Amino acid sequence: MLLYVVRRLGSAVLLLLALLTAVFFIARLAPGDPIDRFGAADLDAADRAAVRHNLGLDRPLAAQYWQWLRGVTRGDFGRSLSRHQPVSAMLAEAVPRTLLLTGIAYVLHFALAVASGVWLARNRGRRRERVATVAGLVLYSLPAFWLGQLLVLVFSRALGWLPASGVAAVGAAWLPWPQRVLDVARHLVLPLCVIGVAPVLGTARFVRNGVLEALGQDYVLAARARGLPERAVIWRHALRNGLLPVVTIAGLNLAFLLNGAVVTEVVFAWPGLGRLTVEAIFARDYPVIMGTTALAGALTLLGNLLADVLYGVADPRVRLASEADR
Amino acid sequence: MSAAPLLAVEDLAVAFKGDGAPVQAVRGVSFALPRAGTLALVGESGGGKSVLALALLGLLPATATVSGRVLWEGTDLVALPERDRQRWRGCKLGLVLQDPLAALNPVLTVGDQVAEGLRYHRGLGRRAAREAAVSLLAEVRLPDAAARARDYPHRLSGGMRQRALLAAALACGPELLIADEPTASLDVTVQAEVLDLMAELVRARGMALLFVTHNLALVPRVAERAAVMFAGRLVEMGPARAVIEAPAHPFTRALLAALPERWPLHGRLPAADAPGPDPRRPPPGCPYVCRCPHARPACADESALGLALADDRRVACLPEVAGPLARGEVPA
Ligand SMILES: Nc1ncnc2c1ncn2[C@@H]1O[C@H](COP(=O)(O)OP(=O)(O)OP(=O)(O)O)[C@@H](O)[C@H]1O
Ligand code: SF4
Ligand SMILES: [Mg+2]
Repeated sequence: MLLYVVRRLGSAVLLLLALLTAVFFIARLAPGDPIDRFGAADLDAADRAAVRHNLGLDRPLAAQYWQWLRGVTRGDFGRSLSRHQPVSAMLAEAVPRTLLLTGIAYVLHFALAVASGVWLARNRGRRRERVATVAGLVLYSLPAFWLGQLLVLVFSRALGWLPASGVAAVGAAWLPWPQRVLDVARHLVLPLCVIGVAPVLGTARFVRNGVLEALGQDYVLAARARGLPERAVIWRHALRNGLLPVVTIAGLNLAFLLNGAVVTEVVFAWPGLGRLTVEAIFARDYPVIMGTTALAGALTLLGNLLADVLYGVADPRVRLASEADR
Repeated sequence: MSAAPLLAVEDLAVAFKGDGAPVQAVRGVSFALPRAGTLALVGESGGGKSVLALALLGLLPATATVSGRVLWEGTDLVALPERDRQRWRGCKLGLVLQDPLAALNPVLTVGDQVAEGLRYHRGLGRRAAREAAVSLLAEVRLPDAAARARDYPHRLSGGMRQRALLAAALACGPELLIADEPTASLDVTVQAEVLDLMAELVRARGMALLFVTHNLALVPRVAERAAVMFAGRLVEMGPARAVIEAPAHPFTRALLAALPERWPLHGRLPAADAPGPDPRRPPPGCPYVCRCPHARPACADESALGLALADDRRVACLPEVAGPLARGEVPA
């Protein structure tokens, strides 16, 4: 198992490197100049050149890339071009917020997907399954920015139940901690609905199909013949097997979720990685773009790795195979 | 009033709804099984043996309509609500299936599956269930039972898996064991071992047995009586030896003739040389007319069929055909 993890980790690092290289050059090739953002319109050509030189933007691309990579190995992601702050400090601020949002969204997403997938399987062919599937499909296919704004309109502007944006209310830092947690939780509700809840049908269909397939197997018949109650047949026998294909897409889903977080963070002004990335792209703030890409990529790959390990835990047959190649 | 038999099946029929006419998988089946009695249900593929077995357990899919009665010491199981039937399964009726790998859940340990009936029916705790699983596995002579209980099914050989399934079926001490082709997927020596073990346990525990098989040659090894099934109906029933030595129904004869002579235990399914009747539109009277060398117009008359050769020996055929066949007056 360990060898397997190490091997996977190695290929993950290579993949990450390839991703970063691609992003570095694509960002530079895109039109636009970071200097335009600091009100540099009234600078003359000589001053512009001086600024560019100070920022190191006039050096050959390959040299810039090399320098960046060397910095990263020391934990130095460079300085932001637009905010005059070390990128690492900006990342340190943004990452926990994104992890909070996507982490909870991820758990919520899978819990809901399992529950509704089992429900769909048990109600197969009934009218309520069809109704629920259509409703789920509509929710699934609504664009995140549109749904986000709709939710804000209804629950913040019209009903005033929930905050429309941000992580915490102004001045929340002075509240005692239980109220502070509650405040953050209230801010989380709408973004979670958009990234975690709305696309639930996508995963729930996998759960449903997995459970249905398992329910047709002989071991389920054997379990029923032992007189197990239906809930035990489903949760103990069918779900465990039905979840195996779902675990394989768990890593994929993480990428999907991070993707959704970008849009959602912008809509809800959630100051995480996604919003930082979008701002950096508009500002042509190359070091920040690189930093957020590196982190998001690392998170995705780590999630994939986790999903693979989880699969080995879930399926004893796989566990055996990886023990054998040790 | 004489004591009711353990199991009395009366005019049982199963039909599956689908597109078009329902598939009549089992029709008008009646038989009785005394306490500790053993009966083999023999017939070719698609004859309705498994459907009959599942009907006894109440495990048919929702598309199945069951009519008739399944009396357990006088209680009609068909009429019981699902909650009560569930308590019957495992406790009073145990099931062993054909393919032991498919019938074991790959993600649960063998011990978990052997003991789970006990946990649900008897409320045994984890530890007690584990101990019970080990002693059950020892009872089916699994070497190193404690270690096997912790193994996942894919680590066991075919014969070991089938023994584990047998142990799981025995867990709650059922009074009737239903074994649906329990050894068909095993190779011949293992098959004989498992069959002998099963027969021995059935005897030792005083259980009744319903043994489903393709292979008539296996029958005397495990069962006192045999019932031959064709196209959803019982066509012949009697003491196993009598049925094999003096088959009275033309279909039973065909089944016997299909056995390989020298290695009868090798017999897989007798290849149906012709299809059976359409289960959606079964012919009136005898279902075997389409293949029977003795068929005649009277065979379509239900009331003309049936012959009791002895108290415990019945044949669903024209007396003028079945009688001479049973007496060996007609060469096979
Ligand atoms: N769920 C179902 N829906 C519709 N028809 C079914 C269903 N299950 C079984 N049948 C039909 O019932 C008939 C009897 O099938 P069954 O499985 O009982 O045969 P069998 O005697 O056990 O054969 P085998 O020896 O191959 O196991 C077949 O014609 C089959 O197509
Ligand atoms: S009843 Fe007629 S068709 Fe049926 S087995 Fe007897 S002789 Fe053959
Ligand atoms: Mg069968």
